[in-house]
Amino acid sequence: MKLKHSGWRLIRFGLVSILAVVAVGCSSIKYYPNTLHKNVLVKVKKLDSGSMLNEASAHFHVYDIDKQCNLVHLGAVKLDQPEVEVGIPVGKPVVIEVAFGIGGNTFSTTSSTIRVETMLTARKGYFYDVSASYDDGIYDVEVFEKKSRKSRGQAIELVPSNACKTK
Amino acid sequence: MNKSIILILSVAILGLGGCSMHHPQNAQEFRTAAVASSMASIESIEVQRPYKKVVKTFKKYTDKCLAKAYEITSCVNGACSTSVQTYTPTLISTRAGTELHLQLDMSNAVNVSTVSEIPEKGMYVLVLDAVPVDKKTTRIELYSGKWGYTTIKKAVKGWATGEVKGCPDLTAT
Repeated sequence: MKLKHSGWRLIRFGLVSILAVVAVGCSSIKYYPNTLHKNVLVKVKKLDSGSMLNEASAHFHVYDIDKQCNLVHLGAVKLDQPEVEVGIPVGKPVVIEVAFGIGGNTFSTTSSTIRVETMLTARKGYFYDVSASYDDGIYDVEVFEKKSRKSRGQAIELVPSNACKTK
Repeated sequence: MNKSIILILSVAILGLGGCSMHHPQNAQEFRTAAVASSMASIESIEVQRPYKKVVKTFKKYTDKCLAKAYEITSCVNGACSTSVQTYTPTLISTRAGTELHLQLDMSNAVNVSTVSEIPEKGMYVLVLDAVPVDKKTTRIELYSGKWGYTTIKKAVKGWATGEVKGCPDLTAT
């Protein structure tokens, strides 16, 4: 049987649509351009859901926060390496967030996201270490501020964005 | 609505509430119901840590880790639904002993029918008592349902022993 021209066009449209969906991905995560001077080192110590049926993933999100405490999502960097360098704006408050995603693959029926955030005004000349782990249901995120890349630095208390006060 | 959560709720209702379908309205009722139920778990452990240190750890993690609300998305046969779970911890600490209560409010969830009055902050999930034994030892008693909430139980016991330095994923039952 021969397909008419319009039939081929329909198939081609379908294939292109499928490819487009695959290329963009099913998730709607906006990627962070990460073009600023790298002043944050995100260390992923462990990323294990503890279950063969659930995958664990992690992203580092950056949000702008204005004087009215509104958050603007600048994007996310996928934490798919043990250490990922990120550049965040200096001298202005932002919100940084580690989001652990559990499940959501072909075999799991549930998905959930654990978000740990803090407001932070990065200082010029300082570096920030973010230590993140998710191990079989136990997660931990710590943020350290340091004057040089090699020092251990000082732990920063995490301040959630809902503690923001309008100016 | 996650089926496993419904199951756990059912077990909690039947197991701890008994056939009278009465939800424990406070921590003491929860302990009493746990003692009387075969569906409940009562764990008693002694940890080799001073009581003050144990309490300090609970104070560090309780609000940070347990005062949370989560959206849970569950999909069955392609149909997805979202519900919000709100956990509320209460920590009461004196020199003689410390109590940690954890309540779960799922009042906005679909497919959950209320069979008896639920406390304002939600159903009791667990109650933990810590008391000093001597200068170096603390006794922990943990009351909970026999099934579910394994991650939370692991975390609170780990805080007591000092082995867990992090928060439990409250979405992982």
